[in-house]
Amino acid sequence: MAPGIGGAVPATGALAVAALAIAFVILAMTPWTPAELLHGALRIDALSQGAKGLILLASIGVIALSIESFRRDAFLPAEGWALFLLSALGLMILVSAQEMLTLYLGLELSSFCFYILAALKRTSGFSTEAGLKYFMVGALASGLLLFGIVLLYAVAGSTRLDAIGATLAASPDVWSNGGAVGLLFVMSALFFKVAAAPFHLWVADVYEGAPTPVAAFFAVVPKVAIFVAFARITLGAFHGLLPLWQPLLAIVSGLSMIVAAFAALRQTKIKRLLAYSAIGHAGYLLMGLACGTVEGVAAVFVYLAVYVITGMLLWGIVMTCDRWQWTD
Amino acid sequence: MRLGLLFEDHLMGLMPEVVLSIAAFATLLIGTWTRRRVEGVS
Repeated sequence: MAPGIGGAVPATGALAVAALAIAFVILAMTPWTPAELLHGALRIDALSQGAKGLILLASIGVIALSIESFRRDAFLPAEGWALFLLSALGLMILVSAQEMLTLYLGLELSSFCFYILAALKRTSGFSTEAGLKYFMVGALASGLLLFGIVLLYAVAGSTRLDAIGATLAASPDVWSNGGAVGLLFVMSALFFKVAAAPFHLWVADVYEGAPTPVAAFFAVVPKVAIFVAFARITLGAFHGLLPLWQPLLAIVSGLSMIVAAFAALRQTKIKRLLAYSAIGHAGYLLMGLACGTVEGVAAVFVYLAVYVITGMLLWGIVMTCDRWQWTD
Repeated sequence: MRLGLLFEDHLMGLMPEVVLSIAAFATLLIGTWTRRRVEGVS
């Protein structure tokens, strides 16, 4: 990087933080009365607005902590901040999604930014490898999600979550023809995205290879959005299929806790250890959803708020150690 | 008129997303412009 560009990194980083702060203030001033936007593609309610607030606060925290790392390491082009903002935008669309294709678009907007961010340190082979691995696994998850959406559309005749729920309530028998398989595909894709076991094999390598501020963003921010989407799908549209998804969530949750706890014992690098910690936390969060109740979702949300704060602080310490070359 | 209605009915609830989109493109433009200025690319 040319020496003069280093000055633009804090300036554009500060612009990104200011934009997120303005978005947070506007969000706080917007009424939280439930409403549907863009012909039902997006929904505003207390869950979506609360999750958006959490995403914005987490993004502000992680980006503010990252500015010094990026300035010192001198590998981030100032345009990189745009990727952080676009990924936060994708996650905000994801938490409002009331329709499967909007959900897919929100997820992909954030994922595409993550692939580029993971490979941002072009002089590092590890970073490039992390970006490529993340892209490959993300492409598989994306394919699973799309295939699941197609199956659900074939059964319900709509991609809207409320219409799918209404079809399920009216004729539960049609779900044995492929709808249940579609739901399993959709859930598998989301398991990949939240890094729950046994869909977790990419996490440690990607966290280790990606630049530390980027890994901090991966670890903290997307979890909020994906768990809210999970709650909308399972407890919203598919509450009628509770006997199908509840045991699956419980098994994946338990597996994530056990795998993460035992695998973390063998780690000698802090970023890999935190990657397994993220897998374990995904397990704890899934257990809240597996309850299948509104109280379970409320517990998940409280856990996410605490997770965001502790995650930001923990990764902030790692970034500081990284500057002092202590991470290994 | 229709544009006004579209904004009032749909986009007013999405103002945080609109702000983020504009900021993302502004950041992109500033970053690119700074790089070109420093590297001397016309």
